[in-house]
Amino acid sequence: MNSLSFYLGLCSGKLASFLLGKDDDRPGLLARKFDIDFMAHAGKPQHVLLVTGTNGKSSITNMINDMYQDLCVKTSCNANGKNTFAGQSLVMLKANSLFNKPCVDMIVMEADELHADETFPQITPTHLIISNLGRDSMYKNANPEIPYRSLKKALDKLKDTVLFLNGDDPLSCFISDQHKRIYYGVADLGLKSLPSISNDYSICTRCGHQPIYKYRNYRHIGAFECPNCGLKAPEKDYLCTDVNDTTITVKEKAGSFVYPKISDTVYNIYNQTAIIAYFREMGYEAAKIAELLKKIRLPEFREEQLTVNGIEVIRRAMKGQNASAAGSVLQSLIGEEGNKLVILMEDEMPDETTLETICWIWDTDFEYLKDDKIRKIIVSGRRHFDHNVRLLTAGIERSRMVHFEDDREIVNNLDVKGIDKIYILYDVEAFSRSKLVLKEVKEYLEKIHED
Amino acid sequence: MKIEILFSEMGIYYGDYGNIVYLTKCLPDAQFIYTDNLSRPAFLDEEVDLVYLGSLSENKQKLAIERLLPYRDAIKEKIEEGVFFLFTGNAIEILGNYISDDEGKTKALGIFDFYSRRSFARRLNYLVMGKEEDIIIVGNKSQYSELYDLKEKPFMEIINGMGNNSTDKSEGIHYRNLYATYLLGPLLVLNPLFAKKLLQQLGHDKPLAYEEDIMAAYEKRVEEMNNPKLIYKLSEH
Repeated sequence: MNSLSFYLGLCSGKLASFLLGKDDDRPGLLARKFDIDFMAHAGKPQHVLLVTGTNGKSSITNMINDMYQDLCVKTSCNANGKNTFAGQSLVMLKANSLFNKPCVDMIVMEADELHADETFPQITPTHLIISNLGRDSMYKNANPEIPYRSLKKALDKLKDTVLFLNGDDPLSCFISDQHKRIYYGVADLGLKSLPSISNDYSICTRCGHQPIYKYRNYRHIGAFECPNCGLKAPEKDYLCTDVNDTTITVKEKAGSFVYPKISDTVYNIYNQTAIIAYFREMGYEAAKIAELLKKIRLPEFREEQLTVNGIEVIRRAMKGQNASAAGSVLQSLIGEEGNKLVILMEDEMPDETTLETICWIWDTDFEYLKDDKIRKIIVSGRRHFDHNVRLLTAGIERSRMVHFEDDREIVNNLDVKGIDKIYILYDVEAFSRSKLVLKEVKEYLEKIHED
Repeated sequence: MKIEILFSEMGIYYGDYGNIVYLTKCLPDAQFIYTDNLSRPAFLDEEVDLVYLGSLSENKQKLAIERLLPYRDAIKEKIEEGVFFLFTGNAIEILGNYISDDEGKTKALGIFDFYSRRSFARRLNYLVMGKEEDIIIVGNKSQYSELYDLKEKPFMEIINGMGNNSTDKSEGIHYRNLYATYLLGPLLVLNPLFAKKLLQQLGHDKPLAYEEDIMAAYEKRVEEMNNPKLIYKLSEH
């Protein structure tokens, strides 16, 4: 290690961070510029938790970090979701003093799975949660085999890391048989999980035969088994056995414990079970975890909910370019009660120099929107013609949808007669647009009530 | 009409599934045969009008090659006989001699005399605009591979974006009634004029499904892709 380069990176990164503010990840890049192995050379606290996987890593990371804050444990965390080299380096910068001594109790880091082989051995996590693997942006991750390959290479170099694995995810749960592994999962929730058009586990990874499911909670996540070679979902150390309106029950070796529910969506029940498994393994009492979970909210950039004159308005992130995340969100609508109006804002093109690919919409289960409780669909954004075609081929009647480019048209097309819930589904890049639309919808609902 | 979809159970990637959906909408009376990787392809034993294969993951592509290699000569014969084939995305690589990468060489069907070189260190992401005879073709590429030594008539000439490789302005293969292109995603949905031509060649001379809607989307995209400010090379990482 060239200690001069490292310390130049550390000092200049800290100074830049002070000047640019806590959410700017350029100081992380600057530190790496001085020392490409900055993360390897940075001091590490005794506990380093990484959270990775295709979907759910931001939510899990944020909630674990919030719970540690509540416990007065000092963490360094990329709660802003900046999870590649720059964001990760920034976490390491913040975790250390100018003398490269850890100044936090632990690191809680969301980590991009694609570059795991490069970054994880530098970060040397003591604990790693892999939420799941599934199809993601084709430009970035290609297909789930690519991040799997990277994670596997990383784990080959990290023999002591404790793994928390989603035992219902056939794509990630067999990633290692060399590490200490804690499996979590969710029992049959009796959900109407329709077949997915883009099945990521359509053939057994061991023998090529078609797997069967005792139950499937969403997409390829569930109790899978290959009738030919016998490859099947592992036994769970932590299994969510029951979900009701306000609580979930998680069964483990020591018994079954009840926790407050943080979200109705099935993928968040998996995320929450991962969090519970992690804190239980860290030695926290179930009652303490329940107390912490009571105060937990999903990150605002993922979901927001309000009620205006009896109509619930839910702003929910639906990652564009990521068919597995988008499909899971669409499926979540079916399980929720009431007549619904859905606003889709999925385009993320900032200007005329870019043109977004719409390949992902053909891997995404828009067929879920055929549900007769979904009374109207409003599509807004530059690719609205493409969404229109996709929705038509998904079997949505023309009479149930409108589409246009300008978000300002949305309120003019709100017809809320008989509607119980309005969903604003937006790409994460359209966060500010979604906030604006939420405000306009709220004002509209208040106005029609006054009239 | 009979359409055979090869290995659709293997989880077709990158939106190629849109081609299958759209064919079912355009040809509601056609018989669709979905052949899984453990079964013998139907077109070898019965008359099939169009055979489709889409993008697969790298491991599944290897499996597809293993499954098809025993029928290599029969497939070649069917191509010569004039059966229609449509290959999109990395399915085209299966037709070459081999695919090489850091881990070695995978022997492919060798129906056409070319090879593919793959590097997992670099994913090539491009918008593409090209010309297939008089039809403007638009679409996307997102791939680890480049194709070399293709000698057949191309599927299209590139106007903007990437061809078979970084220096080739030709793209894909059009040989007899076989169309193979590395364009991925819903080729037929994005390109209604080509979809119409293909269906007409197959003897189906009716309007496309949702023709007005799909043409509106196509015209908007062509207009945007003609914008000189548009960046075609999206990223290489």
